[in-house]
Amino acid sequence: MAGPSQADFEKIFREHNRSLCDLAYNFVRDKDAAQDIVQEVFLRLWKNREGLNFGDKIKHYLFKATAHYALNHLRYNKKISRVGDEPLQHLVASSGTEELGYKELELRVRSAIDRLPPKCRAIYLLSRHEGLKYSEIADTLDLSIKTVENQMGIALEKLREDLRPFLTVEFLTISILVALIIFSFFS
Amino acid sequence: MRSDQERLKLVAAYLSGQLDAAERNDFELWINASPEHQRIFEEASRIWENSGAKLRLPVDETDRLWLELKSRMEQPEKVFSLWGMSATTLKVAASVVLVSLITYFLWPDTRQQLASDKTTSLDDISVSAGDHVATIYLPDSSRVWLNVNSRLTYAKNFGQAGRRASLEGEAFFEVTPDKHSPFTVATQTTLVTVVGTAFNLRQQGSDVTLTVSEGEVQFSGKNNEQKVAVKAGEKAVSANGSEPARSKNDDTHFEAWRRASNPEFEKEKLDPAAYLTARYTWRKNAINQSVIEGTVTSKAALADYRDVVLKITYLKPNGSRNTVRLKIDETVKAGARVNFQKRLFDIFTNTRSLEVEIESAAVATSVY
Repeated sequence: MAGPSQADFEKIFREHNRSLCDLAYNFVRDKDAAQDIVQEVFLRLWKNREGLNFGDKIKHYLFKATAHYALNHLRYNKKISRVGDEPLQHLVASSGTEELGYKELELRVRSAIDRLPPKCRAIYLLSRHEGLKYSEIADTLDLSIKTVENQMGIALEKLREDLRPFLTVEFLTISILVALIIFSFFS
Repeated sequence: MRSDQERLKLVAAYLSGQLDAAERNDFELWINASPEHQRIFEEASRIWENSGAKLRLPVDETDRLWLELKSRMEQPEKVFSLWGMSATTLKVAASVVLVSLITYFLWPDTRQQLASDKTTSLDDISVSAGDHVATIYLPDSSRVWLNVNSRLTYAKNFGQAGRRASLEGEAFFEVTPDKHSPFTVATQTTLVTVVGTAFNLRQQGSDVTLTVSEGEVQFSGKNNEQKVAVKAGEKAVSANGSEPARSKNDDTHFEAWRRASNPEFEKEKLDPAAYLTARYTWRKNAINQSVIEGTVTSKAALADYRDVVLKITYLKPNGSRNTVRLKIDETVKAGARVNFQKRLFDIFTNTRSLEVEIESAAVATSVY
């Protein structure tokens, strides 16, 4: 079976490149690295194109491969990671349509996510941003469902630890407000 | 802390929609069971709610990236060199290491030699082989296999002031090259001089037969000082100290005696893995394949190993182990080394650790 032509390949690249770059970018938080990762994914696909059937599975394959490469990139570049270097102004809503003005807490949560260990971060992002089920995350990253389950718990715990001062301050503010409102009712 | 993690595991499952209706119900009961649970849930929800925004790259660079990819698609496959270093860098590094090693090993030798020249010992060492073939390592790292009922004698300071030995019976010599120090073996009636070769010398009654398997040997009888040069594949016989008569050697088994009743060889045959070592490097290449490159080295003296099978075990992140086998087509000759390379198909796995072991090997018998 002959593989796809270069024109077919270009079509697929144009269709998926942007979203894959964004996926990788959310993992690695480095624009050049994210684009390189996606290039490697496509290059590898091209090298192995013979006998390949570009059906509807291609999207799944590209997604999986990109998540893998990005996670491996995180693991191997731990020491020189540039987490937190890039300004957070590229935040957009997960719906992707509407620009939002970001609350301070959102920015703080984002940098806390960037401080999570690689695997933990990847799992959390796949769940939160891509809306994947645990079984789908397990399949994407070649992990067991148990690991995904545990890592999700660890992610929330670490984020909570990291963000504790901010969470508590808000919590306190709300409590004080509520107390004040109740107090004003009684007086 | 431990129980916090367990609780947050549950909270995460709830928030990410993993729970079915009944489980959700239970979870909500759990929240309301204590203010502590409520607090944990509220904090986690706040994190969850504030982490929904996905980052997007500000500019779509698909056009530029397509051109870049296209040019790479048209290039022939890159050769990835070790740890991203260029081949030249590696070669330079290797030479530096080599030179340092040579210097390190030669320097003390030289000093020792200067010192020992003053104190020459006259003591001789004599080795006799009884009913087993004996393997002797001389101080200059030459090797001698001594046939049964034979005797080799050499000076205690052999190698420091000349390399002289004498033989009664039969022996096979593998001489370490050193052109400044000729290696001589005397029998009662003949003298052999070499620089660095391998040869068999047999004394039988008054006849001495020299068979050369490597290099060139100078051979002379005691009654006639005329030296005869005997080359690899040739033999020469000196009858009772006369001038050696040279001829072509047709007997390919002339040194086969080394493997008969030789306990060393029996061991090499029984347990190949004990004589073979695999050294290797392991890395992931640009497409995340594990690439294993290494060398199998034989420390066997006589056995040649064929069908060497390497067992590669790698540990996946989920704890499961995979085993891949690699058969080396080349025969690993006694004392030699063979390089190997293997790429694994573990592109989607972040292989955690990897081990290469010698699993099995067979002794190549056709030669004997």
